[in-house]
This record gives sequence, structure tokens and C-alpha cells, in this order.
Amino acid sequence: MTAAFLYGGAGILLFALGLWSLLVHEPLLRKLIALNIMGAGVFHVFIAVAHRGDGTPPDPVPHALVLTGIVVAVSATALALALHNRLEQDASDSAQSTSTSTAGLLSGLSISPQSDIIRHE
Amino acid sequence: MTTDSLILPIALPLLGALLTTALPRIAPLLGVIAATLTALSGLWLTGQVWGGDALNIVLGGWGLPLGIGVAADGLSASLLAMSSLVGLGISVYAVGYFAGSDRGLHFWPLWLLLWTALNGVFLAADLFNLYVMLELLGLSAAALGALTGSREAVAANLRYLLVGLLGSMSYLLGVALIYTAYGTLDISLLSERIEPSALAATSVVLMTAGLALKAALFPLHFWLPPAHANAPAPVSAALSALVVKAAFYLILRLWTDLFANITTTGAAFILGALGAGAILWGSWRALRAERLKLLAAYSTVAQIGYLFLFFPLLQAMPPGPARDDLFAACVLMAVTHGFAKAGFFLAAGLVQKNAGHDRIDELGGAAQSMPATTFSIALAGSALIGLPPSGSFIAKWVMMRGAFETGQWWWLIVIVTGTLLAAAYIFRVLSRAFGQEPTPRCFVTDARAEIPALLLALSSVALLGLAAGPIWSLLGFEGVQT
Amino acid sequence: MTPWLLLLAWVWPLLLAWPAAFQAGRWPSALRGNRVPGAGWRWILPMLGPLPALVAVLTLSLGTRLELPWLFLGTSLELDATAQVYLLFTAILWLAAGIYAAFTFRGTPNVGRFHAVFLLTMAGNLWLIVGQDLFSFYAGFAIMGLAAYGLVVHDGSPLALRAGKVYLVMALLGEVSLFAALVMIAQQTGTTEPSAEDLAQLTGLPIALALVGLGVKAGLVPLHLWLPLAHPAAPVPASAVLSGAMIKVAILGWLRFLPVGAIALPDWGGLLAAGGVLTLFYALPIGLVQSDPKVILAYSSVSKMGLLMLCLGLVLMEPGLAPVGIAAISLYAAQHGLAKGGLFLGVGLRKQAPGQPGFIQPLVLGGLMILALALAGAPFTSGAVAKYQLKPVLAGAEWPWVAAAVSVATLGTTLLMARFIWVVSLRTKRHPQPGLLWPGIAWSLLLALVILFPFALGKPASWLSDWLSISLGIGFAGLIAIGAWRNPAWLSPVVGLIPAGDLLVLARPIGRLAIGLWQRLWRPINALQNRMSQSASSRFERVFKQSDADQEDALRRWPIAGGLWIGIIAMLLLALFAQSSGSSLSAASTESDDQPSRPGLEFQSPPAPSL
Repeated sequence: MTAAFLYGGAGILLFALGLWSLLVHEPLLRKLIALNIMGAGVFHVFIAVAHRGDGTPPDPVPHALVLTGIVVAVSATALALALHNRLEQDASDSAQSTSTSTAGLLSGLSISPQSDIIRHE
Repeated sequence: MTTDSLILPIALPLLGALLTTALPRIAPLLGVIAATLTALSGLWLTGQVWGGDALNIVLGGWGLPLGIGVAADGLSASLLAMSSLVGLGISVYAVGYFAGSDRGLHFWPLWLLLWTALNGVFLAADLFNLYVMLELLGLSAAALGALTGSREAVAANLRYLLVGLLGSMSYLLGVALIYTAYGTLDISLLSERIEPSALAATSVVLMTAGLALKAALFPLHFWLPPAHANAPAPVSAALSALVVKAAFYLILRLWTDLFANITTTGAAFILGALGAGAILWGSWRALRAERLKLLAAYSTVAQIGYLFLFFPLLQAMPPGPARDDLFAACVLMAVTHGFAKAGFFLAAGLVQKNAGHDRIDELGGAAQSMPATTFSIALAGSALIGLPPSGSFIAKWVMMRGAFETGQWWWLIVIVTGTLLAAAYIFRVLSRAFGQEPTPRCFVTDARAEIPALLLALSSVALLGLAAGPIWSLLGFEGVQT
Repeated sequence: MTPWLLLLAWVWPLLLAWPAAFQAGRWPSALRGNRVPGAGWRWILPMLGPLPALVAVLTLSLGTRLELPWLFLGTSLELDATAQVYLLFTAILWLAAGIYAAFTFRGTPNVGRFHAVFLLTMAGNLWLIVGQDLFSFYAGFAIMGLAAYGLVVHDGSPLALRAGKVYLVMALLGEVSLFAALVMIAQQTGTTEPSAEDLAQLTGLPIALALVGLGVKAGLVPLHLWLPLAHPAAPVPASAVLSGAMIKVAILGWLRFLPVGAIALPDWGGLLAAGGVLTLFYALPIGLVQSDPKVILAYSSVSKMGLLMLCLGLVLMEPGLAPVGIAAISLYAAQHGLAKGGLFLGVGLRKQAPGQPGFIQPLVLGGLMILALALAGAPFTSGAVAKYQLKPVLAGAEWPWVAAAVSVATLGTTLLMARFIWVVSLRTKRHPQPGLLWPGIAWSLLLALVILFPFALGKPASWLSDWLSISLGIGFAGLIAIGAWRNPAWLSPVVGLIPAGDLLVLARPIGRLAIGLWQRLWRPINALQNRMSQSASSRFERVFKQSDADQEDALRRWPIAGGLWIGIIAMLLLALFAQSSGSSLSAASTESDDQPSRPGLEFQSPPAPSL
């Protein structure tokens, strides 16, 4: 009872910490780690639910959910990293070709996207 | 057989996605075949729901709660029919749009995956599968949106991805709390069990807030305009017309079905007020937008607002035919917007391709050299404004009557202002088409791309407006009370 | 005949708009400036549009009804007495204008666009006449009003675009007010096809909104601003239907959706009548100083609509007048529609018809003169008969001075028409073009209808009504004409004194003044705001090295967006906890009695807070 409660409470705490970090820290990697910590928090809650008291086998459903959730989280992180990589490449390319400041690019996520017109080839 | 058909709208596009990945050489052909089959299966399923009752099935040979539950009722069938027809239109358009470009290679698998997830959201019968489908939807949507590879598109879609992840996490936490309290995630079981409690209230708030991020409800819409405006045209159409609807569908499902006895007028009022903010701010930004696709994106923000305006009305209206009308009008509004916005974005993409840009003030010649495309924009625009005989006209009529009947006349001011602003931004575009440049000899210049846009726009006006009755019967309601 | 003709009457032009849009115009530059008639058959479509409506009104008996429960949310079409009159003159007018539009636009650039918009407008106009319920009326009204935008701006010139903008803004305001009014009417009467008795229970708000919403279309001063701008900008056939048929639907809407004859509405009726008198007299002097014949006709339309609004207002005040009044008003609307449509088409012929053989232009001028006399209500014309029918309304009204005022207005109209004839015969720049034979014949038939009108419909007693003010007016006009002939400079300071669109010209300085006042009043606040936004943006730029052109940049920053998100969560939580579940929404299920059976029982769900 208490153990599960503590475990679940810790999960909520992790979620809140991750959320805070996601909102406050600008670099993408930190945001991604923060999101993963939030996910870990939710998984903690699921695992806490699965506990059905000492002696009884745990509820298998939350375990299955957590496993699925981890797979989803991994692929999401991978996609985010791929997109970020693309941005970084772009940034280094444009830094080589023109000598514009990359300060705006490194803060990647606050780029104003309407500033330019996209032309289709 | 009827119940087996339930998985086809999910399985067929998934199969298509695998095949287009494996055989990139003939991806467009495979893609169109998969799209056609998916659309047919979706429509067939809609027909099943229309003819009979709600359907459901459990996959994987496991019983609930471990098996994957799939179910279709009137609400999911309506949206499934929308995704089928709009998806088919987008697929046909995409063949021409991506012809001769290697971006199409990535487009087809991702688009079919997105369609899988979309139909999955509409058909999933338990909250966790909904999470998986939502996540898949978010991932494929962000990847598709970044397809142009331009810096703006990638940055915008990276932001979209993170926002979507945050929304999913919030939703998942809500799901965890629900499981903690009730021990099941099956929607139909839960709707019987849920009682007012702090845990249930917290979880509905977490789920709603997470989904509101994905549905781009004002002021959480910040990610939408850059992401939608910078994507390739067929992707913009899919994102704006379909993907945001998935999140909205889920909120509607949660509020009217699952948590119906938890939600309160105060909470519904908050959603309505945010919707009102979306209508006013989105329409205003659309009016000020310099680019056609940005205008369309902000118009989506505003249209999502109309959908959320239904919540306080639904909450205040006692059960009965008048409430059924409101519910059906809400679905009609969502479906109409799906068709209209897809048509609008596809047409805008053609204008952009033709003119080389989409700055509204300089579109005169392009608009006149493509009469069919301009006509599509006019048709879709009239559905966005809510002019008769479009579906949104009927929806707005029911909505305004509901506002009077529940004594919430203030929404009326919002609806009227939003309508005027919408008319202003649509006619701002259309007035470019009345210049003295010559029109080409033929109405349709590029049939493969123009016809889907035209048909989608036309359906939003003619099909959904003149015969709105089927939506009512699909939802199992008697027919509108006039 | 089958009642389905009522459906065909407006669906047919709607369907024709599609093939009409597909016709390609030839661009003159490709043919070295020579316009040749367009190939194919599609150019004839505008003429075919009004035919089913004409057949319907000529063959269907009064009271024919068609229920369409599947259309929209259930609509019904019916040919009642008012609809019959309206459908007859509207269809005739659209036919004449359609013939004109088919032949004169044949093979021009953008012909497809014009013909499609023309047919759409026609469909809307016919639909709202035969539709009996709120949906049909509004749908037709909106289609007509917005498609007509395409007619007004067809030219594409800056003048036309400006006129189109004014037209569109006002039409949309009118449509939105009308929409709100109709929703309220449906909600308050509980039906979408309200009878006059149902409408008697309306509150003030829907009536006011209906008056404003349709007042824009009717040209009720000061909502008339679009009229004198749109008419000269639109091509000739478009102006003819705009002035002849489309502005009349406002009266039809009021007859349908105000409690005419069921209840005395002294306040609203008085307001409408007063607005009518204002409109009647306001437009005349402004019209007199115009120099474009189409603008003169537009102001004359405004004035005549004022007369109709006056009569309708009187009927609203005195329900006993309704049976006579409704018939008289519809008849007058029909008369004026035919004559005004004829006048506009005649102006077009005057400008575009060839000068050879020599008898053509005198014939056109003669026809225009007859139509102008009919409009003024000269004896033995349709105008006299229609005016005679209105007499009982004016005589039975509570305001004794009304009849005298209308006589004075008749004098004014006569002067206006004299001015029109003067301008059109002496001051018209002519651009002859081929292909006007059939439009000319159609116009002659319209003219013949107007000429025959009094003898077919009126009693001999009605042929001579108002002869005194007419002859006075003609006398005055003659004197002024002689003066102007002798000394051409005599009147020049007055002509063009007030530009078309009158009040709009005032609007600009007033707007500037208002902005100036606003800035002065709010200068301190403005300054503060400017300083704050400047410092914020400079700080922003320092941090992010980019402009602040995008207003949503701030919103896109994570701490702000996340803070808003958390705020929304907090508000929703508060709203859910603050309110007990008493007013819960019971959509799908009644609460089951079963206690939830849970596999994991570690967390007891806390009881609902009771506040």
C-alpha cells in the first residue's frame, strides 16, 4: 500500500520535474531528456498500479502498457533527434556559406518561421 | 464479416505503408491503390454503421482488457467517412504534386502510416490504444510536415513534435490515473463505471489539456500556423483537415461519452471561452496573413474554435432532440471543415506551385490563369465562412439556436464576428481573381491535381449542406428539429 | 403542370452556372483587338437560365406547393400571391438581362466568369422568391448577395473594386444581421415557416435586425451607400437586375418575416415609414446633381425604395391596410422593377448600339423617354396605375401629410427623370459594338410590356392619377432645360457637387477626425504602450537577434506557452472541483449501480469534494 503509493507519488514528481525542465530549458537535448523523464514518471505510476499486494502476482496489463509506451517513446525521441540533426546541418551549412550569426539557429525552437517565403522548386 | 471489416481501415493503409517502403519504385501506384482500398473500406464500414448498430471487435485472440478493442459508432463512422474521402482526394492529388520529385518516396509510407493512425484513433475502443495511435499520428504528422526539408519547416515541425509529445504525456498520465481508479481502459466499460471523484476529474483535465495541445486550441495553437503553412500542400491539407480533428474527436468523446457525469458547466465554459478566443484571434490573424497558406492555417485555428464553442451549449442543453441536434451539428461542422480545408489547402498548393509563391497581394495573375483552382478556393471559402448551402451554415444555425435556447446569447456575438472576419479574409483572396488578365481557354488546366481540390471543396458546400440529414441518421438521431 | 417546376426554377440556373463557367473567352490581344463571337454554344446559357421560372409562373396555379424534407433541414417551395408577382417580373427581367448578357459578353475575356456569376445570382434571386421557409430565403439571399459581388467587380478597374468592397462590406453586414434575425425568428416562433400570426409574438430585437439586415439591400438611408457606387460599376445587364429585381427582395423579406397585418406595430412601423420618407427625399436632390445616367437611375431607385418602405411602414402601423397594401406594394415593386430594368438596359443600348441605320438611336431615346415617364408615374403609364393602387394606403395612414409629401416626391422624380433624359440624350459617350440586335428586340418587348401594363391591369380611373404633379414637374424641367440650353454654364456649379456614394465621401474626413481625436485622447496610454512594446521588442531582438514582426513569437516561447497550458489545466481543475457534480451532463449512460471492480485496489479514489 504505502510502497505503491510512494512509487506512484514519485512518478508524479518525476512528471512534474520533467515538465518544468521541458518548459524552462532551451536546448533541444534537454527538452528531449525532460520528455523522457516525464514518460518515466507516467510509467512509474503504471507500475505502481500493477502491484496487487505482496504474494499476489502483479497485474500484467500495466506492464504491457509500459513496454508499449517505451517503444513509442524511443521512436519519438529518435525522430526528434533526426529533425534536430537536420537543423544543425542546415545551421552549419549556412554558417559556412554566409557569415550570419547562428545564435538564432542554436536556439532552434524559437525561430520565426514566417520570416521567409518558401519556394517550391 | 461485418465485424472483421472493422480492422480493414486500419490494416489496409498499414499494409500500404509497408509495401510503399519496400517497393519505392512504384510507390505512387501502390499508394493510390492502398488509398482507394482504405477509402472504400472506410466508406463500407460507415455504411454498416448506418444500416445497423455500433460495431466492436477484440483483436489478437485475447479478451479485454489485454486485447486490442476496435469499435465504431455513429460518431466514429462520420469522421471515418470524412477521413476516407478527404484522404482519397489528398492521395490522388499527391500523385501529381510529387511527380518527378524524390520527396514522394518519403511521402507515401508516412502518409499511409498517418492514415493508419488516424483511422486507429477513430476506431480504437480503449484509452491506451488511443494513446498509441495518437503518438503514431503525431510522429508521422511531424515527419510529413518536415518533408520539404527547409529550415522553417523542420523547426516548426520539431516544435510540433515536442508539443505533441507533451500532449501525449499529459494524456498518458490521465490514462494511468483512470486505470488506477477503475482498473480498465475500455471506453464502454469505463463510461458505465466512472463516477464523480477527484481522481477522475484530475484525469479528465490532464487528458483534455493534452489533447487541447494537439488540437491547437487557442492559445495553445502557437505551433500550428508555422507547421501547417510550411508543409507541402497535400500534407498541409492532411494536417489541417484531419489530424487536428483526431484530437478534437477524442475530447468530444471524452466529454460527452466517457466523463459525461463529471464535466461541469464551468469547465465547459472555459473550453467555450478558449474556443471564442480562437475564433476571434485566428480569424484576425488570417485576415492579416500575408501568405495564402498561412491564412488557411490561421483559419484552421478559428474553425477549431467553433468546434469548442459547442461544449458549453452541449453541457447546458438537457438531453433530448435539441441536444442531439447540437451534437450532430458539431460533427457536421467538423466534417465540413475537413472537406473545405483540404480543398482550400490543395488549391492553395496549386496556386503556390503555379505562381512560385503564395503572397496574397501578388496573386492576381495566378488566380486568373487557373479558374478551376480559384473556383475551388471560392467554394471552400464559402464553407469556411458558413454560407448557405454549406454544411457549416446548418451547423452555425443550430449552434446559434442552441445559444438562444440555453440563454448563452454572448456566444452569438462571437459567432457573428467570426463569420464577418472569415468573409473578410476569404474575399480578400477572392478579390485578386477579378482582374483584367486573360483567362485560359479551358477551365481545368491540370486535371489530376485540380479535380480532387474541386471535388473536396464542392462536397463541403453541396454534399454536406444540401443533404445534412445523413449525419443525423448516422448518429442515430431522429432528424433535425426546426 | 408539375410543382417540381418550382424546384427547377432555381436549380436550373444553378446547374447552368457550371457549364457557363467552363466557356473560354477569347482574349482580344491574341486576335489583334478584334473580338469575334465566342465559339460553341455556352454563351447562350444566361438566356436559358430564367426560362423554367417563367414557365412556372405562367403555368402553375396560385398556391402550388412542393415540400422538400430532404433538402437542408427541410424546406418548402410555394407560389403564393406575392411570390407570383415577384416571380413574374423577376423572371422577365432576368430574361431580358440574360439576353443582353449573352450577346454582349459573347467572346469577351472572362465571359465564363461573368456568365457563371450571373447565373448564380439569378438562382439565388429565384430561390428566395419561391422558398417559403427561413432557410430558403436566407440561402437564396446570401447566394444572390455574394455572387452579385462578382457582377459588381467584373470590370476589374480600381473604381469597380472599390465599389465592390463597399458593396461587400455592407452586404455582409446585412446578411449577418438577417441571419441573426432569422435564427431568432425560428427560435421565438418555433417554426421555420412562420405565418403572420406566429410572427406577432416576436420581440423587438429580431424585428430590428430584420429591418437593418434587409434595409441594406433596400437602400434604406443611410444604408444605401453601396447602391450609387455599385450600379455604375457593374456591367449594364447586371445593373438592370440589381436595381430592377434584387433590391426588391428586401420588401419581399419584410412581407414574409414581419407580422404584416397580424398586429399593429406603431413603433417599428413608424420607424420604417420615417426611414422611407427620409430615403424618398434624400436621394432626389443628390440624384439631380449627378452626371452619369446610371448613377441618376441608382438614386432614383433609392428614392422609389423609400416610397415602398414608407407604404410598408404605414401598413405595419395600421394592420387593416394589409390586404390592400400588400398587393399594392408588390404591384408597385413589379412596375418599378420592369421600368427600371428597362431604363438600365436602354442606357446600355444608347451607349453600345450602332448609330447606323439612323433610326436606331432615336428609337432608343424614345423608348427611354417612355420608360422615364412610366417611372415618374405620368398618366397612361404603368407608374400611374401602380401609384393609384397605393392611394388607399397613403390615404388610410395615420399621418395625414403623407399623401401630400408623396405628391411632392413625384414632382421631384419627374425632375430627376428629366435630368436623366437630358444626360442620356446629350451627354453620352458612345462606344458602338456589334451583336446588339437581339438585346434590342428583347428590350423592345420589355418596353412593350411596360406600355401595355396600365391597359392590362388598371382601371381607366387609374390612368390619370397624379397628373398635376407630373405636369408641374415636366413644366419645371422644361424651364430648367431652356435655361440650360441658353446658358450652358448656368448649372455647372451644381452638377457634380455631391459625388456618387454621398455619405461615404463624408466618411473619410470623419474617420480621420475620429482617429485624430482618438490619438489625442489616448496619447498618454499610447505613448506608454509604445514605450513598453519598444523596450520589449528591443530586448527580444537582443536575445533572439530577429525582428518582432510576428505577433505570435512570444506565444511560441516555451515558458509562456507552457505557463498558459498549466494555467488552463489549473482553471479546468478549479472549474471541475468548484462545482459539485449536481448539474452533470447525462449524455450516454445513467450511472450504474455496480461498484467498480478493480484488479489493483491500492489507490482508493477519494470521495468527490462536496462544495
